[in-house]
Amino acid sequence: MENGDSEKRGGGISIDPSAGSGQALGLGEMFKGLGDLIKLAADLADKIDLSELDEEKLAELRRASQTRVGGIPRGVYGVSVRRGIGGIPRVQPFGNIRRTERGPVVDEVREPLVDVFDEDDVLLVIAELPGVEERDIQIEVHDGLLKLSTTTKGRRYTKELQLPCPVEESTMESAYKNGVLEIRLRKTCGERSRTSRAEEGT
Amino acid sequence: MAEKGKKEKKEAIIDLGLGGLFKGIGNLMDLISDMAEKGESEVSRHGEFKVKGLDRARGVYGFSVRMGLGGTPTVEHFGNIRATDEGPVVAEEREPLVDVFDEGELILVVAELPGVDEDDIQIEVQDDILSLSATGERKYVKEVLLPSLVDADTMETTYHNGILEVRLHKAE
Repeated sequence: MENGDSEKRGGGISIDPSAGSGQALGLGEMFKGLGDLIKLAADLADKIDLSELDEEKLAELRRASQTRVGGIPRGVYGVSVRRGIGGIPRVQPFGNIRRTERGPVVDEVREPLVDVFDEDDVLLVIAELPGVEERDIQIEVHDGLLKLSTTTKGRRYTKELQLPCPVEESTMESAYKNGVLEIRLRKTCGERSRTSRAEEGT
Repeated sequence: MAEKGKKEKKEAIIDLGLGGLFKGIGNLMDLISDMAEKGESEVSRHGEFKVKGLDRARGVYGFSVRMGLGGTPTVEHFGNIRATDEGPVVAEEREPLVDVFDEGELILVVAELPGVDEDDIQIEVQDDILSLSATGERKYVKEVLLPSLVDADTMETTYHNGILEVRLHKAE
């Protein structure tokens, strides 16, 4: 990330108190939902009831808890909320807890946090992949579908992402530093997207 | 062959079967998918939504579930969305995902701090509290309660590919 860019981003995160609605994001129902989510998650820890488990299960869990980074039987689930391309707020789940008919299960492979930025003539994809080596990252782009995966023994990630605009696959550039992967791809749709004009106002 | 692949996939999944806890998580996940839908419809109703300075800011909220020390499942939060009386707000600093392991004589703390440089990470240890912060392009802050008192002078740290590991000897 260039310096100017990162400064802009850093400054962007502090929400201007003069923006009226205070620091609340004011996304209406969605953020009410988020408030509920936080409360629910806070309650979760209290609701843990080990009495439902039999001895065997408990022993298994204790064994699992002793495994260190590597075979992490840790469940992670989260949601990222941001202003997406065209001003549409995007709520994206990430993590390694998946739904099944038997209820949620913890998968070995985690879906990473991924952001896509529309930078005029390029799309910038930023993925958080902490704990992997650069050489273990595979990136494939085909028909506007970006596939990310890692094969590191310790942490494994996988993500499929539909890009918001067709891209020139051969222009892909990627860099990995400090656990963050950045991918740049040249867009092949209109140079200035309609959305960015719309953001500038009438 | 296909069946074999399927079987392998199945084995890679660990069913923690934590009963009520996971029922709760199921509810959370419902809520999130619900939010994703509502978020979309909200926009189509209002046409646009403007939050000053949110262009590149992002709200992240998550939780991790793991068996904690002593075999008790623990739920930890991370992210930069905080609940306030006026609703959720997005903070500049994010709470990272942190794990604490008891390794006998040592305490190992593993934190995910993607996107910062090693030089930007500050770690302080006072009694049994470890304070982590990182400044730079991404900002992180976290206070971790350690499972025992530690000798701060024994601290060893490594940072590699976005993962910070801190090792501390337990105090006598």
